Amino acid sequence: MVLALILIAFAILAIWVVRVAGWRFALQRLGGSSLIIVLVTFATTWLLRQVPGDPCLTALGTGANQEAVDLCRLERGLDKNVFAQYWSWARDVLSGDLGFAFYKNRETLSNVLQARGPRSFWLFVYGQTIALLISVPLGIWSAYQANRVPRKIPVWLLPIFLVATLALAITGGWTLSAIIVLAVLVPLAIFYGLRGGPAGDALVNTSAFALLSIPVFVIGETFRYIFAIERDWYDLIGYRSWGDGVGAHLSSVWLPALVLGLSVTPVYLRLLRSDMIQNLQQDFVAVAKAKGMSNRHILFRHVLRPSTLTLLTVAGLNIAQIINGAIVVEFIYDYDGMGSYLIAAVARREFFPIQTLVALVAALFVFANTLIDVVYTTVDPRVSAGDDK
Amino acid sequence: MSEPQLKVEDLRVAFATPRGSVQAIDGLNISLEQGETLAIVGESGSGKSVTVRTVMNLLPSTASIEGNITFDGLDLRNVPKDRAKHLWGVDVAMIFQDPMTSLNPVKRIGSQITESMRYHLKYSKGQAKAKAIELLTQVGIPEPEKRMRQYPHELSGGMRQRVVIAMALACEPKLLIADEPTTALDVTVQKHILDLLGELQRERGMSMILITHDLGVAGGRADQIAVMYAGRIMEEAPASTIFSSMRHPYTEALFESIPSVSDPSHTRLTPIPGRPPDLLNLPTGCRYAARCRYAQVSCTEALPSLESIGTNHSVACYLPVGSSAAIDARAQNEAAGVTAAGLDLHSNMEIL
Repeated sequence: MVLALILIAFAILAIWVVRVAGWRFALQRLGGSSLIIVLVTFATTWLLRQVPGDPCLTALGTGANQEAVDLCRLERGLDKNVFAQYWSWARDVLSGDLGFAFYKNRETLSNVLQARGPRSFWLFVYGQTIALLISVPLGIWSAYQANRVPRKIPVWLLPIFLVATLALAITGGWTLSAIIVLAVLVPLAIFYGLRGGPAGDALVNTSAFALLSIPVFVIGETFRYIFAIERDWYDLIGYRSWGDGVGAHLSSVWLPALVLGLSVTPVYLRLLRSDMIQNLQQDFVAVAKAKGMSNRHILFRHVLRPSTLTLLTVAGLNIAQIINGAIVVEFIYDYDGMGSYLIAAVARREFFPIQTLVALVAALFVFANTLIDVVYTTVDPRVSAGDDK
Repeated sequence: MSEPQLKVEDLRVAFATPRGSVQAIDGLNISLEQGETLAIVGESGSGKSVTVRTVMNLLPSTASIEGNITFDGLDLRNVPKDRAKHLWGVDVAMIFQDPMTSLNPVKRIGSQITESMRYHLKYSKGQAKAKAIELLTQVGIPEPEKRMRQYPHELSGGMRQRVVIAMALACEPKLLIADEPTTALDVTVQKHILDLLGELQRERGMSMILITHDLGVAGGRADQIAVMYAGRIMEEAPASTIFSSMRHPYTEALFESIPSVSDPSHTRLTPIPGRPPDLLNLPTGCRYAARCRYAQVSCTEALPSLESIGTNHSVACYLPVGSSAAIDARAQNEAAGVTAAGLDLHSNMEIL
């Protein structure tokens, strides 16, 4: 059901691409994309054969006798050379047979996709949505504050603060002093930051930078501990679909989606912020001010749109990053999506499903970036995709 | 006589920079009557743009401003909030120097012209569109309906400046400020745009401040001309007077530096020696003394103020050109080969 919807969505987007950019562009991109996918999948196929380990051996167990393993390899065509194997896999995929796992009950990838695909899809969609919901307003706010007059912080606070720190350090030791200093400084910084001005921009920007430097698995583990183990805000019982009710569905994905979203938020935020700051210096902003337009009008109607170009580019390229993140997040939250399947598949050297999945990811990536090239033309009329206009 | 429409009194603008305070405007007075054109002439960095940007309330928040600006009896430095919302862009509008960057590249021409009418005058979409088409026709743009749907990059520079003018006129301003409106354009297009501005001004009875560094441009179009140098007005006079009897040595030097069509080809231009003073560290005396052929010791000691010397004619100089004191001073300097401010009159001129 969901898969069908996704396919329909893809078809609609593809039609839109053709309408906006023309057949020529679409066919060129299709040709280029096919080549990329072939290269990527062939590289994967070849690399998988170089890695020690054997799907038949994993499936049958280390105690299996040599004849059984050989038979298994013969049946799967693993005795042939890489090119022959690639060719037979490609033929199968193109005829609709996505491959199956050797392990246990020979689960086909089509079934796996049907069962787990939607889970990863929603995780991805929610993660991306959360990232944009946080980064876009904060990025705009931050850029706007960066250009305002700094609020004056009383100068006499500084010597008093230094003396107090020193006095504390001498009487109570450096550790205590450091703790008290942090306990005073951090809330003070947040207080000044929230009042706006360059301090507000610095607060947002520093927080984003801090978040950027924390790996996904650290955020993931920390949040799991805080929200799922210490408190009861998230049940680690796995995914529930839309069919189980909207509440159940959302409460089963919010935490992994939040972690995934937070992992890409700072990238978007900083890009949007720097583009906005740059565009706020443009002459047309001064012109809009001279026209007496309100700050809000200028920010949203004049500056936001030309500032989203870099964001779009990176959002497209970031799909790979998010898929990586999703794999880690799914693993941490025992979330049975495609990511955890892929990890298991790699561990068992399930050659054919891995190849198919890599092909799918590559196709998604190439398609999304083509789409973004076309979105450019609607964001910035000076850019044209294709050459039909 | 009634109050002038725009009155700037003792304006001082300084910018805080890491290297210190830059005094961009230092005690500037302007007054402009309803329907008149004032041209402000000066070289780059003389404070022309800062002056009008102060009037337009466009200065960055790092600027510190002193002095009074009155427009139609309204204190522009202290406008009530609800009035401020619909003042700039409505009663006072501005045209910028570079039409290539003044228009938002991702918005259609139509929406850029109509947005201020929709915001300030609360026009409906249809009303604003009709008015915008009318404006585009007035500024001489063919096929206005078609242009409304185009983007700036689809128009030429001259066309874009016409669009910028239409944009500024959208809310029927009483005062139009044009900050070097033709500097970025071809010479032939320059004339068209200036003629257009003059025509529109006459039709609408607008006042205009025309900023330019080209005395020729100012001469034909302005009623009153103010010559600015290093943040101060050096001389102000009606256009005809300034051409026939300029009194400030700086104005004189500016006129001498204009090449004449009757000169043979390859005639060397006459530059003004030296360069403008560092605004971070202004000299005590006259700002122009260091480059002036007439400079005496008194010139370097105290700042001359702008004194009236005739009808609408005022000059800030101790030794106005043509006075006997000036003739003596120059003769004395020529004889010594060097002025009291240390300018070497005989060496090759430093061209920067």
